[in-house]
Amino acid sequence: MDVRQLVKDCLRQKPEAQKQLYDQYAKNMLGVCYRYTKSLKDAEDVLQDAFVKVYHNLHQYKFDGELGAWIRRIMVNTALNFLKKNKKYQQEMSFTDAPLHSVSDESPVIKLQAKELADLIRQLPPGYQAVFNLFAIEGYSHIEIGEMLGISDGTSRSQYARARALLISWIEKNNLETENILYAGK
Amino acid sequence: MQENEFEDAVGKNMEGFGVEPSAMVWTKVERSIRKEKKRRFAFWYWFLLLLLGGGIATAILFNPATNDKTTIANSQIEKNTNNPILTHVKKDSSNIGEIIIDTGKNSEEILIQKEIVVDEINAVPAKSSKISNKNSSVSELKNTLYKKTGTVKATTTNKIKNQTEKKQLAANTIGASEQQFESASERETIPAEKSVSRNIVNQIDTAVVKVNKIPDWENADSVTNDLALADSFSKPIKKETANQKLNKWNWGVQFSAAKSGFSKGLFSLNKAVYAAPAYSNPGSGASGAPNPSAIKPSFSWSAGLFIKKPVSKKLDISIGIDYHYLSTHQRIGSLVDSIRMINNASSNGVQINNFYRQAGSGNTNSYTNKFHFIGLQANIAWEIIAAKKFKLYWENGIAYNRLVSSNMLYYSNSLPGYYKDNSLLHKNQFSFSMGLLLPVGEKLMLKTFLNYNLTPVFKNYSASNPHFSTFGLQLKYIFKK
Repeated sequence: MDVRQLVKDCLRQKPEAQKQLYDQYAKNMLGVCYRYTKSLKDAEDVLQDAFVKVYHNLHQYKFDGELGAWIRRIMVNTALNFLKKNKKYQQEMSFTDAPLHSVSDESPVIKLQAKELADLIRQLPPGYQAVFNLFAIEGYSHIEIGEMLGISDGTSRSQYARARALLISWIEKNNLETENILYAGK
Repeated sequence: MQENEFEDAVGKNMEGFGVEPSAMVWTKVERSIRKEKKRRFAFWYWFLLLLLGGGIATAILFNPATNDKTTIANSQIEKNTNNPILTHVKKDSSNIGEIIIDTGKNSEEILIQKEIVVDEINAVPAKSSKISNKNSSVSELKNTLYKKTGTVKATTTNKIKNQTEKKQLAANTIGASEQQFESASERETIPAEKSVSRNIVNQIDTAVVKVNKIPDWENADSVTNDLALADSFSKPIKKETANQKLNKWNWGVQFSAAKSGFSKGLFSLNKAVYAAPAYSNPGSGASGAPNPSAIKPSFSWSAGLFIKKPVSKKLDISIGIDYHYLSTHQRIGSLVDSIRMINNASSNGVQINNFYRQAGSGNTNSYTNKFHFIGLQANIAWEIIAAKKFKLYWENGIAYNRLVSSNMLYYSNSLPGYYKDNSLLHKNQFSFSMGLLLPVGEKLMLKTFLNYNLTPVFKNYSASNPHFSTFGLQLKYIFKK
């Protein structure tokens, strides 16, 4: 079934189409949610809320871009909303300065598995984590990130710089051996 | 590492990264979306139930047969209790047999016929087509009674000495009355006529009782009086009609066209122009961003059903259900299809899927904020001018209105622009209205009105919270029975 037909069937409230849409995107989208949260349970909560919004707002999808990208934006926004609402994350979303680490020229990132890298990103403080995800992976500009998180674009830049430095230092220090220690959320 | 090398590497690494969700997630998602569908259905269910309930209540209230029977039966009971003649008949019911024998006619047969007539009348259902017959039949009976009265009086005046003749005269009179009753029964009169006929039967019976009880005809005047009393039945009928009018519910339809807007108070209706509601300080937005658009009054209309009842000569009450459409308009820029997070009074993070930019040079569109309400209203109208050719009512009312849907836009300085979030609106609105009501003919009424919502428009709004207000013209059409 093509995407257009799938969307139309979902809009007609056909249960099998709704399930098919979920099956098609749920795995990748949980990967997105996973990077923004600290536990798999939280990630699944975000995924659930976001999919409800997807079905509720599907009539607003105008087929002017990929459906996956549209759903992904909803996932990201729902995740940010979750971080803001959840006290556990709110306390750590303070965007305070963290010590900068030196940056080496050699990148071990490419040697990491996706899951290992995602787990490292999840070890960042929530404020850093959100900015890093939005800039490095989602591709938003610092101005857009500022609007989304309610901070200035300057703050977004500095947060990203610190997050990037912190992440690289962890990768360097542990040299791929930290993966088991840093895994959190299970 | 180079500036973009790290980002590229991270991006590539994360491409296609996914985690298999547990089965519970889909179960919860499915439950949520089905529940929402049920909620939407539930709203229409209750709305239809309300309409149905209103319809049934209206049908019960306006059922003419039930109403007339009840009213007339009640008034009849009262009259019977208070009527000395009927009381007398009850007390002296043992004399009836005597009277029948004394008349010298086949009075038993007549009495049986009378009973049959009454039974037949009771059994005949009310037929509206026979209404015209009712008046003529009643007037005929009345005329007959007048004649009888005249006859008896003449007889008395001439001092008829022969008692047999007198009795014969009375018997003839009864015979004539019986014929009238038969005539009435043939015409299958309506229930009001039935009670009249029954009363007349009782009156005649009473007269006959007295005729027979009178040892000589020197006291024949009392018979005359009784017959005159029988004639006076027309007076209670008139009273009954007036009571019926007071107890009668009429139903009607109304339609209004008005101007609606936001106002700060009762005395600034639609004059004030408000800035688009902003849940953050508009001044702290992007540098150089213009102020939010003004919100201006726009068109509104309503349509509904009502039932109306006079409670006294001067006062009418009415209740009804109606649909209201209110609107305001503002200037906006182009639509941006982008998902954003907004902080406002309802939530720390509201996701919006699109928003409108602020109006700018060459990029200005008119936008209509629409509000759809369903409401219940109660009004009381006081007749302030009651001239023969000109009547004027002052009508005041209260109403409960439920906001069903809206596309209202709010301003956000973080966009900067306008977005939708209906959770910021007060869904339950209480309002009062006042106006002057001018009857145009029997069934049509024209009203100028002013409506002010006591409940403010927005929730948790720090700035001066406006209220809905409307003023305009309303047409009411009453379906009188």
